[in-house]
Formats: sequence, C-alpha cells, structure tokens
Amino acid sequence: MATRRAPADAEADGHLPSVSWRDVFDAVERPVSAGAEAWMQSDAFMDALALTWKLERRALHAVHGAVGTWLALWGLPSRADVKDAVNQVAALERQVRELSEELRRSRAE
Amino acid sequence: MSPNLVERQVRRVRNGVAYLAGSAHPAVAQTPRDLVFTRDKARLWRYRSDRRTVRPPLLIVHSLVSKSTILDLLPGSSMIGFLLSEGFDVFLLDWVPADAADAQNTLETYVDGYVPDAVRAAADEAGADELTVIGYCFGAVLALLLAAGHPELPIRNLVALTCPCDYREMGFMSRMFMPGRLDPDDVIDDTGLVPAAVMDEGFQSLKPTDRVVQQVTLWENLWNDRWLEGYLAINRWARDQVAFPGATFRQTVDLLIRRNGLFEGVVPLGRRDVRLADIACPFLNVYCEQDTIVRAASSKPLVGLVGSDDATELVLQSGHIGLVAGRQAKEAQPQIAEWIRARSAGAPARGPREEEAAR
Repeated sequence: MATRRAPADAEADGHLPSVSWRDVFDAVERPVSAGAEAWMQSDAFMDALALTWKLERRALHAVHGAVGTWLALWGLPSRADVKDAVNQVAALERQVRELSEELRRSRAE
Repeated sequence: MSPNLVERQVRRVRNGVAYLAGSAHPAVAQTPRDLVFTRDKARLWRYRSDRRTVRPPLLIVHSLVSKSTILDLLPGSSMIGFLLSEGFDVFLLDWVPADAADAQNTLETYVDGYVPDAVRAAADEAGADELTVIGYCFGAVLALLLAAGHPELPIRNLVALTCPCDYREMGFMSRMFMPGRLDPDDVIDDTGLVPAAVMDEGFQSLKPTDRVVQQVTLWENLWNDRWLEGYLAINRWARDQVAFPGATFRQTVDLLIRRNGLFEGVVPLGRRDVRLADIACPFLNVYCEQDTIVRAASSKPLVGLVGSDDATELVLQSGHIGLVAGRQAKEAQPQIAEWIRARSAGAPARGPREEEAAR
C-alpha cells in the first residue's frame, strides 16, 4: 500500500512538502462533511425529513391504490394482492412454527 | 516493493474493469464450520478447530441488522479466525434474513426463545457447563437482555462489542424516532418489516459524504490488489443490509429509544422487568472512539449499570467495523481475547461428537 510522506518529515529533509490530489480533496471534503453532518443533526432538518418521509409514503400509498384499482378493472393482481398473498403464507408459516414448538415442548415433557 | 507509476496504472485499469463488470467479488466467510442447531431463522454454527485449548467455549450473538460475514470476512482479517487461532472453541449464532414470517417476532422471541435455546445447544454440543457470550452491535443488546433476564443460563462471562445503551447519544437514527417525528409504522412496510433499503439509507445518513469519499479512496487505491480485496468485502457487506422484524422495531423504538430503557437499567420484557443490575457475571464493555454507528458516548454507561463486581471497559481507537475486521482489529482483538482468557480455564473443550470420535 502506498505510504504518504508526512509534510513535517519532508521539511526536515530540506524538501518542500508535496501536496497530492488526495490532500486537496481531503482539505475540501472535511469541512463539507462536517457541515453536512451538523446540518443533518439539526432539529429543523430532522423535522423536515420526517414530514417529507410521511408525505412521500402517503403519496406512494395513493399511487399504489390508484394503480391497484386500475389493474382490478382488467382482472389483474395488484401490488396489494401480492402483499396479501405473502402475508397469508407468512401467517401459515408462523402457525407451523407454533405447532412445531408445541410438539417440541410436549416431547421434552 | 511498491509498483512504479506505469505498473500502477495498468493494475488500476485491470482492477477497474473487473470492478465495473462486477466480477471482483472476494470470497468471504471461508472458515470451515458446521451447523449444529437451527430453529426458524436462527442458526448456530460451530467453527472447526484442532486446537481448542481454552474453556469455556465462546458464543457470538450476531446483530439482527446485518449479515454475520463481517465476523469472518477474509482469511487474515477474520475475528473468528483470530479467536480460533487463540485456542477458543467458537460458536456463532446468526440469522437468516428476516421475511414476512418473522414480522411479528418481538424482542422476547429472541431474548426468551432463540438465544437461550442456542446457549443450551452450544453448551450441549461442546459438553461444557458454561459459556462466554459475546454480542456484537444489536446482538450485544440481545446478549445483555439475555444475561439479565435469564440468570439460570450458564453464562460465565459476557462481552458487549459496540453495544448501544444511551439512545439519546445515538444521533441521527434514534433522534428521527423521537416523539413528533417518525413513528415505527412510518418505516414498516406492508409485510411488517423495516425494509433493507430503509436500514441502508439510515446508515448512509450517518455520514452523508461517505459514498463520495469511498469512491475517491477506491480510485486512489484501485491498483492495490490486497487493499481492493478488503475494500470490496467490507463494502459489499455494508451495502448488503437485511430487513428488520417490524414488531422488534416497534419495541426498539418504544423501549430502547423513547424510554431509553437500557440506560435506565430496566427493560420491560414479557411480563417482567429485565434489570441490567441482575448481570452478575464478569462483564467487558468494548466500544470505539471513532464509531459513527454506535457512538462511544452511547456505550460508555454500561459498565456502571451492570451488577457485576468484575466489570471492565475497553475503549479502542477504531470504528464500528474496524473493531471486527481490518487493520485496527488486529490491535483490538488480542486485548479482548486476553480479557476472556484471564477469566477462562485451560482445559481442552470436547463435545459429544468429539467424545464419540475419540471412542
């Protein structure tokens, strides 16, 4: 792995410190990153993000509902139908788990 | 010897093409192991070793929010590999990524169900009376609640690696779920899970310029095959988040974030209160100054909250991932191993399978 020469060492050798493109990038990135992090940690940003998130989610639900209604007119399964099927299979799997657990306990007793 | 400028450019082009084509995938989690117990999505692995000299065995409880490959990333950069080389008998409890069938799993499902079952299974498999339990990240939360809520279990030592405790100090991800902002159901999808993409976005938000910095660092080191292998392995793991069970997430927000239960020392679970003060076994709390996911200030109070007379704190100058994989891990892991070794016996571990093989 490449080792970057410390500027202080270079000066001690009597050479001018070399500045690589990465040093320049880091010098720009650090304050930008620190500023962005501080902004994202502010109450105003978090409140705005939470509100945006909720509005986006409501809009998506509305779009999915409208698309689902349109698909239903053509007799096609919608996203909600697929999710319902997934949840029904999941509920069955949970019941199988509970039964297996009861069986395991009764065997242990 | 470092390659010259021309060689570097040739390698950079070669590796860059492989990277863009998606063919540069290092093989991870290669340490040989056996699946010794499974229940639903819980899997208990025992790592093969012919030099188990330290007893009791170690049981590592992995987090619910990521894949366990980070603990056994690459040969030479594997926490599990290191522990095996130190003579430990290593078990790992990890989880098949949650799907809709796991959406109703609660903290109790793990703390009173899967994890105690895995403790008993590991003890049986190793023929051991006791275990040292190690929890990583959210796995450490599960391990803490396990040790506090199940004093009957044979836990000899407890090690928490980067365990969130004071959620007021967790920053962006917990503050977004304070009352008046997001509710758990705002991020839980129609199948009852917090989708992996939401988890990924949450982690990315902790350091907004991280993706750009990563790409620049990638370009800078693209010529270096060894560096690239580690980068790809860690980066792939970091982007490969898993869905989180919705019911557990609701409890996490209510009990751990809003009520700050761990910091208060009491977490209501099932029909009882689980108190950290009931943890009486030797306890090691490891946290990292550079951790941007679980901040040091969040983990720090733990030692004062457990009831153990032998509670130790180990503060490291690494990040959340650097503790278990990479260059910094090589300095951190020997200290953790030494703490455990000092509280372990030296008799070789031999389980029923080994006993049978020996006969």
